[in-house]
Amino acid sequence: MKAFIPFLLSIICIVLVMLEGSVANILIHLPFIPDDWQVTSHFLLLFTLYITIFFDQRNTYYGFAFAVLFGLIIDILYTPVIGIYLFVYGVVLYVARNLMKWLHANFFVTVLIVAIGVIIADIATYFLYGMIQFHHMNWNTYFVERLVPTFIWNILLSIVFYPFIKKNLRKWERIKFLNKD
Amino acid sequence: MFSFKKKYLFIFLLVLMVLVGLIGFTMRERSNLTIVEDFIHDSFGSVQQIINKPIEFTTDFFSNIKDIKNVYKENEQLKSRLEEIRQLEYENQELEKEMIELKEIVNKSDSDFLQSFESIHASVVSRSKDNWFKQITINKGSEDGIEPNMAVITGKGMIGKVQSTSPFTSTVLLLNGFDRYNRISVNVDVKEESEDLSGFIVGYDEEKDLLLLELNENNDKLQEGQFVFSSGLGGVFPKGLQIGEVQQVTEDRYALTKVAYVKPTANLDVIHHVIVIDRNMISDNGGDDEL
Repeated sequence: MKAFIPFLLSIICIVLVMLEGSVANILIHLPFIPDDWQVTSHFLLLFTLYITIFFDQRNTYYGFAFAVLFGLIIDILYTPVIGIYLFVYGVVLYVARNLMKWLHANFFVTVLIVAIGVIIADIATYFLYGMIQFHHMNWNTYFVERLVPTFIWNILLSIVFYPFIKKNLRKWERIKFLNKD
Repeated sequence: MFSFKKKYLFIFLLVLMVLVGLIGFTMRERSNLTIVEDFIHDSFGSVQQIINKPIEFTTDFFSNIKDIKNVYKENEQLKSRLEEIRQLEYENQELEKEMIELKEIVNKSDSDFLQSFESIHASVVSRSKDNWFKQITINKGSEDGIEPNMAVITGKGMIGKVQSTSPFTSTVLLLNGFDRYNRISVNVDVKEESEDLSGFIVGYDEEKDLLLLELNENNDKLQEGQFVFSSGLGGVFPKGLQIGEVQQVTEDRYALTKVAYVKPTANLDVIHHVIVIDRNMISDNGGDDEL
């Protein structure tokens, strides 16, 4: 059972990566979302942040590793260039990992870290893709039409699923790291 | 302590170099993916289709409820159109017969015509999670006969072209992601004129959300409301695929040619099932008729 936990986590990550693509196809034509809003879902980022907060020990890097690995898969599946999401998710998870050395895992810390993570990740992709000229969006339109809706959508999801994910990750953490008899 | 930090800095720079190399390598226009990418596209694509089933079911359910409200009104309208369609169908049959006869007389096979194509039906598996990339993934690949640069349409009109293929899935670039590197040669249909205007779709205006059309020559007959079709002269798409409707006509920067903004007839946001167009005409051998 102990060795099975990382596989379980990676299966969840795989499903989340797939959901990002399927949900994007629905989000784009939902009637109550204005046409020019660009809502981007960062499910994988949310889940790996949760792993870092509730699952990782002082000497493990599961959240970081999953973010890098599946960031690469997001790059391959959904974008024509490889490397941007890998880099961005890697950096965000690295920062979150270091923050968690000082912070205690509770609801407000989680929301704070998820909020910072989503904002850093989205702004970083904006600048990186802008640098290699994949979009020509100016900052104001980006801020209103993409950053704010993306932020609201992701924060909302992370709060709704907070109790469920926390409970399970804590349980798996106990199985994996604490029952060492 | 110092050497410890140095080691980390070294690793960080190394990773950064590899990443920049990777980005540079993949940024080129490429239609052939590496075997690793093919594998990931195919394996994720096939599982994604299963995940999509319940999602599709729920969205269909809600849109069905919305549809039911309008059923009566629509039915009345459709009934009135039915007679018209029967007439058209009859005409169509007659014309088709005539065309087959004429084809036999001039002794040309199907593949000599710009219009002729075969269609491959496919479903949309996913859309890019990032709205900056106007690409969707479909569930047919090179094993089903799909090749890069084939045109992709829905019932309402053209939506894009195949960007890259894997054995069982392929990636489609939507019309609103087109730029100067993937132009479409088009005809603008002018009513009561025997000759169409010819031009190119040269890109997509993101602010107006319309396609940009440049005519080959300055012509005053270009007007709003005219329909734009693919001309088949680009060598990639067959003739006669509907692309859009002219919305606004202006002049370009130097007032030398007309520039028009074209609204795509197909809805690029709601796409579930598509048809990939395999052009019958062989365009790369011979070359005499390509001049």
